[in-house]
Amino acid sequence: MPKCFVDGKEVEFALGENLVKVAKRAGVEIPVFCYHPGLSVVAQCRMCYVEVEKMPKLQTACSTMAAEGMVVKTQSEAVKKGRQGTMEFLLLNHPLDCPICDKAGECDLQDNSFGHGSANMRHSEERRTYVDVDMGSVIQKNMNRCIHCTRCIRFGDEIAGIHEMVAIKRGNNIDITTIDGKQLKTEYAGNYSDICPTGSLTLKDFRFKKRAWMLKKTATVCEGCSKGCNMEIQHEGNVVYRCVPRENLEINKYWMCDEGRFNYRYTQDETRVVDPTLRGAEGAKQASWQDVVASIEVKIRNGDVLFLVGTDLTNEELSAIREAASALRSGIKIRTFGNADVTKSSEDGPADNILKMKSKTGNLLGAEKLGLEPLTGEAKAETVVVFRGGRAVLPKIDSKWTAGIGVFNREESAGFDGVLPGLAFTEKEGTLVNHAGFEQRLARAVRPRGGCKPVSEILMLLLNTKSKAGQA
Amino acid sequence: MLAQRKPSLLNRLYLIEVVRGLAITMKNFLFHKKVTLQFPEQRRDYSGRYRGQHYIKSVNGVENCTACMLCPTVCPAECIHIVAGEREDKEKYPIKFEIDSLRCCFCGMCEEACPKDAIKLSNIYEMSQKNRTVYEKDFLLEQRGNK
Amino acid sequence: MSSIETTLMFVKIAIVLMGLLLTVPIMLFVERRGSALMQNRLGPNRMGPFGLFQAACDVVKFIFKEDRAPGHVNRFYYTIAPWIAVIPAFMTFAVIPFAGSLQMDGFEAKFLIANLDVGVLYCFSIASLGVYGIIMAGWASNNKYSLLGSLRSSAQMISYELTLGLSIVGLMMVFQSVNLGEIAAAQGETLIQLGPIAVPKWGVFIQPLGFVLFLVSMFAETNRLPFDLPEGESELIAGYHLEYGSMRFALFMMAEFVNMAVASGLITTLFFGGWQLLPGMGFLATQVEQLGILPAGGWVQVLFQGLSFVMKVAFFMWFFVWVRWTLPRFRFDQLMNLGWKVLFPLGLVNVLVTGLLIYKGVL
Repeated sequence: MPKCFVDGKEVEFALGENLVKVAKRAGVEIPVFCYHPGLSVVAQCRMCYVEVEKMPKLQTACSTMAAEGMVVKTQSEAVKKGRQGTMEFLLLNHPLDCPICDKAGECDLQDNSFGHGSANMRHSEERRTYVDVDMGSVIQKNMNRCIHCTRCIRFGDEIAGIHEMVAIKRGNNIDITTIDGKQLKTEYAGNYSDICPTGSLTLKDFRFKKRAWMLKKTATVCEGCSKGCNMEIQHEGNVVYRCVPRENLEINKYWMCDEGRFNYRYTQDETRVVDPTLRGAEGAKQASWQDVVASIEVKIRNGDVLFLVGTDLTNEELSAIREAASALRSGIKIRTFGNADVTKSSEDGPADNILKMKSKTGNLLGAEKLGLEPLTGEAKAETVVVFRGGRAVLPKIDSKWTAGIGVFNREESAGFDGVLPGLAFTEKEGTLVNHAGFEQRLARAVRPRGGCKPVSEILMLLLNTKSKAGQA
Repeated sequence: MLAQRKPSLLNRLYLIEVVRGLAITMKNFLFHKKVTLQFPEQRRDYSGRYRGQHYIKSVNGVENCTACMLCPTVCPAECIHIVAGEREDKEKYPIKFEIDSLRCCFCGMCEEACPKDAIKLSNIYEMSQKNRTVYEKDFLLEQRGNK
Repeated sequence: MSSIETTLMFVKIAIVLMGLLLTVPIMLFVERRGSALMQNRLGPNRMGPFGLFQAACDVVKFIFKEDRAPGHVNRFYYTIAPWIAVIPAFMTFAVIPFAGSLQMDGFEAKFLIANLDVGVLYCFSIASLGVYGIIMAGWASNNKYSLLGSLRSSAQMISYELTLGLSIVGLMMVFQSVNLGEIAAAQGETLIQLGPIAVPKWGVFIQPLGFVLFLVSMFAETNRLPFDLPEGESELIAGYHLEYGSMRFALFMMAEFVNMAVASGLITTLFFGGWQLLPGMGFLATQVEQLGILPAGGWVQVLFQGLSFVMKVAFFMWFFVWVRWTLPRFRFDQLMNLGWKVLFPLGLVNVLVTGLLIYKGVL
């Protein structure tokens, strides 16, 4: 493999790799704004200046490919001065509103200004200001903070497949906006906020909720569809504030759809059932765990019993349910449910040509691999027990008595006779198998809400009740 | 090793020393200036840098605070709780700004961290309360001390 | 005994009792303000002029405070202990003369309650009863600090009573009496005439060493600083009265102040001429007598004798307070060393020397 030298260190590289990537491998971080590994290279922020021997001028590392024997200096006086000059230009019109900017704390401009900029400012003229357009329900725009890196424009063109962000006017009056000031249409708009190196595009959902440095981060997987995008749950004080994509070049690269990004909302929705309930003569009422478990156990003791398990449950939960079903009684049927139209992995496929899949549950393939049969038609049995992780679409149920175990909101559980609240994906650990067969782990980010219990514990309660009843 | 002192016989008799001690106390009793401050009527002048009751500085009735959360971040006692919001005249402002007075250790870090010169410590030192008190935003906006 | 004699007896008892009871609030005030001023503070100055009514407030507070006893005490001894401590303190004063005598129709009125011939001995025996109150309090409180305090107290009292007794043996030898009235009267004589100044034959002049020994022992006997080990706040919290509150505690405090008053009275009587007039008082007395406002027949003289006595006692009371806020507390081993190895031998030497001097005819 060819070799080059970055700050005196010898690094191997593949042909066609640019200096930012090569330097990173040598342990040298080159500051960038417009360069993003998932997007095309435009070299317009001029932040990634490096000095290459035998080249008369400073070169932008992002657009310079490494070559055999190339000697790159990233810490020379010329480079430092060049970066400092760039930083000063970028900050000419940047407002000093870090205290109210949601990007503060994870802002490239802050970091690079601190690392490579000058503490002084020579600019004393008035800064230019803009009137911002409404960018729709996901993104809040603040053009004053923009440094025109055009990452957002390139993301729209190259990844989201929709040309909606443009740069209008030129020079000092440049304005990065949507075409004709329309609202964003893409379903991947959240990524605009992620890739923006400043606070000009921020999430409306996260606006002023928390500062970035206060959030604790848990690496996990999205359960929104069978793609299994890698993501990070950012939470503080047992409240999830946002989810951001995590780099995984084999699955989702750097991106994530808005559906998955805001999927966490249902887990802390007010309508989520977080206490065991039992329907009596006067309708559904909060009951003790003991009572609900006992009444479910009595119902499944005989008669025609069907366990409906959602394909949004983890592998561990699915196999626990299967084992518990046979231990409870022989002859309990288990059928999976999840999507109205996609019941088998063979029917699954991309919903668009970016990330989304047709199956809106995360473990369709996993359930299939465990040998669970999908439900066809409506669920017809004397007693039906529904196990659900939160996203599986409930099928039509025709039964005398129905119990729900897992995550439901009040509307969904209205027809149930008994509900035992389970854990949502932010509250549990487990394995999901995505459409391509990758087994990925869910990580627990927050403590369970209310009295929610894991499925395994609920099954143990059922089995204990049964063995006690058998002794009596 | 401790130094062994062998006082003279006269010293060991103590009598003279006792008399001298008595003279000292009597001198204090009769002549020395008394240091007691008659509190409610007389008050001590505190330095301008004294760290007492917190307040939020406001200009023309608008609080300086922009809810940047630097003070709760830097607070070693974690006694500041802010909820940020947006309103017509101000992009970001604190909807809730609470200081748990019993947790606060009056270190003044919040004052130092504040980029907007909004949270300050006045020299009000009479802060006794009947129960555990959380200072609300409205209360904090009124406290100014001598500033 | 004539009716006038009986009346006079009751009047004397009333005067002594009232005087001693009044001592307590006054000393409370003096102690608090005195200590404050010595420490460059102001002390309680809010109630009345100079905070004079503070003592009254304290008394009211003591009376109205809830009287609670902890559950773990021995009820009987716990309850009687303060009384055992306070009653002997009052009883001791019976033999201390507070004025001279007056020739009335048919009898000689002596201004002391009980003219006992064993005067001093009575004093010491009754005073040493007071320690029972402290021991009872410490034991009945069922608290190790209290018990330690009372143990210290008993050890200290026994050790210093020896010196206390020895220190006045010389004095008794000189005056050939243990009757306090006689001792006081005997001190009116002139010791040496130094030009115009007549040095009286006060105990302090003929027994200076005896006086110092007596003074030091008295501090130990009254449990006052620097010998307040039974209380010892820093090591025993409050010692024997740790479990006491409200009026019961006030009784202990009263006992302490009355003991101080008795000690001052004894020092005055034995070493400072008792009711003998202070210098200048004789002149004042004749002036007042000539005004004729008061009934004739020596009453003015008695009044000024009483006044002299009170002033001398007051000085020693103040001296107690003064010393308390000057000297630090002794350690217990230091206290015992001082008592047994220094004061006791010195007391013996004093007796020896006095005896020799009497034998030689100097005294």
